[in-house]
Amino acid sequence: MNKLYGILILTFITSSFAKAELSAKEIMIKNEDARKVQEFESRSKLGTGSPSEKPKIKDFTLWRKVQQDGIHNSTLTRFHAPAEVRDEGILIIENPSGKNDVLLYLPNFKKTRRVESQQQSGSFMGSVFSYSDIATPHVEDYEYKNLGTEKCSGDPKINCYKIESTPANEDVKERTKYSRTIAWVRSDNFMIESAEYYQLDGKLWKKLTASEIKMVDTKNHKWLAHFMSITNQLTQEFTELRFSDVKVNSGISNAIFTQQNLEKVK
Amino acid sequence: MRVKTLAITFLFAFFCANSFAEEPSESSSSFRGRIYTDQYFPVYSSATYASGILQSSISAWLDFQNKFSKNTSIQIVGEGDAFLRSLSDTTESSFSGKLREGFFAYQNDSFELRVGQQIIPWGKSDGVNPTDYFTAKDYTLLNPDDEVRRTGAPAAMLNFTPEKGTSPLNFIGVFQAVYPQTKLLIPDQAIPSGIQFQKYPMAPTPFQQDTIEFGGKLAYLKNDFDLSVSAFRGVNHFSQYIYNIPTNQITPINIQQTAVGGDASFTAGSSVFRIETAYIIPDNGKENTDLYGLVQPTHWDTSLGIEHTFFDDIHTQVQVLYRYHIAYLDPSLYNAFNPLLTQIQRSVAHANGLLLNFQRQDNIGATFRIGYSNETSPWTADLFLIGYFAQGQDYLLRPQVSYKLVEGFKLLAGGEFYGGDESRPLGALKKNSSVFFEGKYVF
Repeated sequence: MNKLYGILILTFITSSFAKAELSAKEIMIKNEDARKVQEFESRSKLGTGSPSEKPKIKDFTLWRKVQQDGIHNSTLTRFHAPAEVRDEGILIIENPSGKNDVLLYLPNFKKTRRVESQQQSGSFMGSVFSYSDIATPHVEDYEYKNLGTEKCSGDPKINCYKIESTPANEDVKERTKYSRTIAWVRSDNFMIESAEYYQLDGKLWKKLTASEIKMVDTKNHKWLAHFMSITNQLTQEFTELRFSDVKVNSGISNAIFTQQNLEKVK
Repeated sequence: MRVKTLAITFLFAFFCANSFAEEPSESSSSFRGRIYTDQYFPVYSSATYASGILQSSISAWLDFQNKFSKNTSIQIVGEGDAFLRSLSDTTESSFSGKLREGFFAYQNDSFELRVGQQIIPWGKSDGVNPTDYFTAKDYTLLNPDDEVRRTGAPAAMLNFTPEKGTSPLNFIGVFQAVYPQTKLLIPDQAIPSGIQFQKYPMAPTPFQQDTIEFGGKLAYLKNDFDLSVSAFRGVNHFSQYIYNIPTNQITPINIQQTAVGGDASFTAGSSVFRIETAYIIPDNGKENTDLYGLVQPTHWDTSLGIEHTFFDDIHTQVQVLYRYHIAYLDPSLYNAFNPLLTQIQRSVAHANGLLLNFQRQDNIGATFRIGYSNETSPWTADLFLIGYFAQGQDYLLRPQVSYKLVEGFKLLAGGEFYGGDESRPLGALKKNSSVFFEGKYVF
């Protein structure tokens, strides 16, 4: 009888360990789940500079909402400063195909223009972030490899999973212009703490660090990095993105993620 | 008069800003503006340009926005210009102030209503917009930014999207109290000799039956494509000349017209495609009207374009332009009841054909644009070419480069080169070819 109990306990312990060893994809599913805030609105500052040049700040409001499919997001940014870009709006609609639709409203022309998919790998408003970086990555867009665990650089008490992602199809590759990404995912909240982005020729292109990771939706256990810094390793140009006045699940209307709304008086 | 209107509007805005701001959490106001100076020099030396310049100007825009509540706001854009210009025989200096826009807006998820002076540009094409029924451009104002030339009018615009703003269907209705007037550069070839000639028309009176305009657009807007159909009843903003026999004078008029049209754009692969088309029926352009053969007849105007980006930063766009005039009459075939009148009327018809580009039944042209812009670089470059091909080519080539010195301040240099057959609309403006420099500060 005791032997039977022993076998049962051993089986339980073994299965628990097996459960703890998550696959790379399972980790990234948890990552997507942890950061998938149903709706969020934030005042944002985007500062871009280089070692020889102090950052130029762009101030905007960002609205993001998960679409009806529960996976993809719609994102709207509306710029307040500097004066040259005031009232410019950028609407990013993520699609299941991996090809996002990006619409840019230019108040000087009072017209909205489409941003081609090739341009989506280009700079988002002069920053090191691209349009595709601003749109969020999705689990199904990539294939994953677990490269092991390391101490998180921002918090050595915590282990980070080191996950390599490669685009699952040509559309994703064209949109991002990344051949692969290596992300360090915190084991406590499954949020990305840092990442490296590699060019199509395999060279390291950008390095990202995310900090001030706070739970913004306690009911659903959703997290948000309030500060991100990304550096272009080829030019040493850097961009810092800070979110403030974050509001979650405040009832953002679907109507704001439309071309019609882009052109309304703000 | 314009300065007075501007002052009254600003006072009105100030009053509104202080009396309606009842939802502090939603209300806000902002001032912004731009100051820019332009120097245009002729490329070809000419005795008429005694001052050695085409235009030396300094302009300021002041843009005031006040949001009274979540739903209501006002926007006012005033403009002041000081000019020294020698586009014609004499050099003129002038100062003008005008209200570019000044409207009250109410909006919720489904509706947006704007009432007041406003610019309502329609159409998806680059530079040539057959469905741009409601705005006008002042081409005598030399500026590297074509949008600066655009003028609006007092109007009411209602924009409605069903399903609380989430439907892909969108309806826009516009009522314009008075049509704005496009002002063209008039080449010497267009001016008949020996007859009194008035270059530009008088300003129309608002709310008259023959000056009001209205139109509607029904659009289907999806994220990956959009298309719209539109209809318009109003006035051709380009004036045309008529010969007044009793006064022996040639005067410009704006002719009423009806139009139907549409536009569409969609993404295919890594390219964006655009089409815009309109069928325009002028009241006096039909075979059974008095001015048939003298003014622009009914025509179909289309632009089809493709836009593609190379190497992330090189943006290109090619458009094919096509116009077909229905029941076209060659001006040299026009006959009046006596030889002298025939000669005068033919010269009037020639002038109209030259200015409005209807010198033949069908007209094929193209535009090409290539530009460099990188959000991380202070440099931008743009080259725009428009040309017409059949029976005597003519073109306008407009290269420009800009450099951002500091945030908000940009220097720009470029040229506008007209060329080709001088009996054609763009070739006739060869004398107006210029090089220019601009300094612009945006705040």
